[in-house]
Amino acid sequence: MSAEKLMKIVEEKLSGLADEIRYVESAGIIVRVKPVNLREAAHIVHDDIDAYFRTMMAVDERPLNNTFAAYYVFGRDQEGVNIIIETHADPLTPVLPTIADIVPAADWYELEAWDLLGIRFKDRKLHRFVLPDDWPEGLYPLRKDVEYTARPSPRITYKPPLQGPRLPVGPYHPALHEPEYFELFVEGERVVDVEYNGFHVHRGIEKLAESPRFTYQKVPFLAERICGICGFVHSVAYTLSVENAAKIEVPERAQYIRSIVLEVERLHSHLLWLGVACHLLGYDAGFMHSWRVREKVMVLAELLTGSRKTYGINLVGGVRKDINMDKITAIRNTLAWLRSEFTKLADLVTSVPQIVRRASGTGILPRDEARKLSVVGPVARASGLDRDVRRDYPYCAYKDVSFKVPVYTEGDNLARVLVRVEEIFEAMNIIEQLLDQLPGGPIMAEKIEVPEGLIGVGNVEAPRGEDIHVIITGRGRPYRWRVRAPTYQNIPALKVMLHDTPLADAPLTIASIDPCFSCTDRIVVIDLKTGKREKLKAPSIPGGCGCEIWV
Amino acid sequence: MWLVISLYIVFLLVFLLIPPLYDGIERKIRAKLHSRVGPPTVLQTWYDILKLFKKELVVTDTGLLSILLGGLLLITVIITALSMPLGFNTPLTSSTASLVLFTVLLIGCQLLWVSLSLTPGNPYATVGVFREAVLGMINEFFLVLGLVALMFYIGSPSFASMTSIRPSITYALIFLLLAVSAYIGSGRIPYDIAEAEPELASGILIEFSGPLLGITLYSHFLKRAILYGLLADMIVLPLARIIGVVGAAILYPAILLIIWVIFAVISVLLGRTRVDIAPKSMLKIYIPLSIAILIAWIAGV
Repeated sequence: MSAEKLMKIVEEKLSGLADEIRYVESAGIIVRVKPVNLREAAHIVHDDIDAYFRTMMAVDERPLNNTFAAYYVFGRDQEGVNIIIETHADPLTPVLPTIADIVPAADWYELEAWDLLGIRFKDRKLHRFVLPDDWPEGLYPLRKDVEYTARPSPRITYKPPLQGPRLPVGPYHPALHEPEYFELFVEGERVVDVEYNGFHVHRGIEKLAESPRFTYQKVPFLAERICGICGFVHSVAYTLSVENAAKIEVPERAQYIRSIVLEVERLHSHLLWLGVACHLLGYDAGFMHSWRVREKVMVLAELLTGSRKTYGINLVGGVRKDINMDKITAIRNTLAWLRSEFTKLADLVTSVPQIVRRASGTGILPRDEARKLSVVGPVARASGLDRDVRRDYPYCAYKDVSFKVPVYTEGDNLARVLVRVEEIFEAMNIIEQLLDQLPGGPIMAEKIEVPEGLIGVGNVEAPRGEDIHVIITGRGRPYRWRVRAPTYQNIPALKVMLHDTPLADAPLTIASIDPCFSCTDRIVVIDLKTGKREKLKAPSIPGGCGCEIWV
Repeated sequence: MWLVISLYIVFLLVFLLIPPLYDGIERKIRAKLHSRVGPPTVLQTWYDILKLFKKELVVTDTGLLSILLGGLLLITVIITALSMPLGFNTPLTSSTASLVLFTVLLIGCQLLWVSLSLTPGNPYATVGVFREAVLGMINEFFLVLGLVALMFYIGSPSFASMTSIRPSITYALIFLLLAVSAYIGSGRIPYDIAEAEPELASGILIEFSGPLLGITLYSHFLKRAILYGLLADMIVLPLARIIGVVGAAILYPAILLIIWVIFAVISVLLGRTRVDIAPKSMLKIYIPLSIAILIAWIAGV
C-alpha cells in the first residue's frame, strides 16, 4: 500500500474529527485535531489503522501561533509512512486529554511534557518525572521564555527511607553502568514489582540545541554525545530530520559511508552488550573475549572516523571523511577476522549451560505487551514483532542492500541474546554489500539552506532499536528538536519483564534491553575545553535567583 | 618427634601464607585464559589484603558484632588448619578422633561465615546469606557424608590411619565426592551466588571494609586452602611412607597448587547458577556419586 492509499484511509476514518489532513513528505500524514477529538483520533490511528506509536513532541509554539502544540507520531510500518496527530492547547492554561490509557506507550511522553513544558493532561496522575525533586514548582524549562542558562535555587524536599521488602538496584550498582534507580519489590528471591526512577543525568540537550551558541551544523556534534556507545545514530537521526525537512540532497556516497559507520557502530555495541551479559551471568571468559573481539571494531571505527568512537564525521548534507581503497581493504580484512572469531565466540557463549538455562524463560515480554508498549529494536524482535526501521522506513543506503531481520517469538532473555548475535552477522554482511556497491562522487551536498517553520522526522535503527528525532526548523538552528532514544521506549517494558522473575536474573533482564541511560536522560555536558569544573552564575531567569551551578 | 614438630611449625606458617599467594597465581592464570594481562604480580592478593588492613574501618551500627564474629571466624579457620595434616601427621592430627574434630571445626567455620554475613542486615547481604545457607545445607551434608565414608574406609576417625590405605575405586569415588564438595564449599562459579557481584553487589561482603574485609577475605582464602588441603592429604598421606615426611611436606603444597589451579580453570569455563537451580544441579552430581560409592564399597573394589 502506498502513502496515497494510506492517506485515503486516514481521510476516510479521521475526516470527521480532523480540522486538517495534509501530507508532508519530510514527516508524513499530519492530522490536526482539536484537543477534544484527540483521544478518539489516537484510538483510531493506534487500534483501527494499526499504527505503531513512535514518539511525541510537545512544543511551546506561543511565539509562532500563541499555543502549546503536541505532535503524536505514529508509524505504519507496512508503508513506511508516519501519521502525525497534531493538536494545540491554550497558551495560558495548557491542558490536553490523556491518551496513555489508549496508547500505553504515550505515558512517559505526557509526564515529560508536563514536567518540562507544563502541559497538563486530564484524567491521569501527573508527577515529577525528568526534573530533579528539588526543582521548583511552576518553572518549565522547555518553555521559550526560560533561558537555557537558567539555574533556579533548589527547593527543600524530603524522601522517607525505604520500608518493607524492597531491594534497591542503583543509582550505583555493579549491574548498572550509569546512574539509574530501580526499586525491586521482592518476595524471597522473586521480584513481584518494580519502580523506576531515572533521568539522573538529564542536562537539557534539546534546550541547549535551541540556544544561540548552536547552529544546524554544530548540533550533530552535540547529538553524537547523547550516547557514549551509539553516538553516530543520534547525529544521523538529527541530520536526516533536518535534511528531510529542508529537502537537502545528500550525495549517494555520503549515504553509503553513513550506513557503513552505522553498522560498525552496531557491531561495536552488540559485542559490548554480549560481554556485559556474560559478565552478569558470571561467565567472565565470554565477557573478556567479547571485548577482545570488540577492540578490533574500535580500531576500525578509528580508521573510518579518526576516533575509536564513531564521532566527528557527520554533518547536515553529508560527511567529513571519505573512504579510500586502503580503508576498504582494511575493513574487509577486519571483517574476515571478525567473522571467524565471532563465530567461535557465539558458539561458545550459547553453549555454556548456565547462560542458556538462566536466559531461557526469564524476563519474558509477551508479544501483545510489546505491541502495547511500542517497544523497539531487538526487544521488539525477540517478542515476535517484525520491525526494523532500516527496512520499514529506509534511510541512507539501506534500500540498496539485502539483509535478514531476525525475529524470535519467545520474548525471553535468550531470544534477545540470539537476536543480537544474528544481527552481528547481518551487520557484517551489510558492510560487505555496501563496500561492493560504494558509488563515487562527492561526500557533501553543494547547497545547504534550511528554511524556517518546517517539520522533519529522522529515524535510524540504532543497535538498541529505533532512534527517532523530530525537528521544527528555526532561524539558523532548530526551533524545537525532539530526541527519542530507543531505551526511552523500552524501559517501561521492564515492569512486565521483571514481574515474577528470579531476583538473580533481574540484572540480566534489565541489561537485556541493552539500556542506554545517557541516551534516555539525554546527555551529560562536560566542558572539554577547560577540563575543569567551573562555577557559574545564572544570568537570567523569570523571578531570577542567580544561584550557583556546576557545568 | 622434635623434627616433625619443627617441620610442622615451618610448614604451618607456609600454609597460612599460601592461600592469598595461590589466589594471586589463580588470578594470573584466569587472566591468561581471558586473554588479558591480569594483576602485576602473583602477590597482588597479599598486597590487597595488606592494604585493607591499613585502611580505615567503616562499619554499620552492628559493627561490633561483625568485628567479634570476624575475629572468631579467623581464629576458628586457623584452628581448623591446625587440626589437619599438611602432608604428614603431627601429634595433634594423629589423635584418636582427629578427623571428627576436623569435620566439626570445618562446619563451625561455615556456621560462623553465615553468622558473620547476617550481622550487617543489609538487604543484599540478607539475600546472600539465604543463598549461602541453602547451598551450605546441601553441601555440608554431602561433605560430612564423604568424611564419614572416608572414616569407614580407613577404619578409623583419625588422620593417622590415612597413611596406610591402599588406593581403590571406592577411595577414588570418595575423593571425587569430597572434591565436588570442596569446589562448591569454596564458593566458586557457578556456586558463588552468595556474593554474586553483578547481582548483589558482593552480597555478604557488601558492608565490610578495611581490616574487617581483610580478615574476612583472608579467612575465605584460608578456608578454601583447607578444603583443597584435605584433598591434597588424601593424595599425599598414603605416599608418606614411600617419600618420607620431608618429601611429603614438600609435595603437599605442590599438589595443593595443582588442585587449586584445576578448580580455577573449571570456574573459568562456567557461568553462575541461580539459587533455585543450584540445589538441583548439586543433587544431580551428589546422588549418583553417593550411590556409586555404595556400590563400589559393596562390590569391594
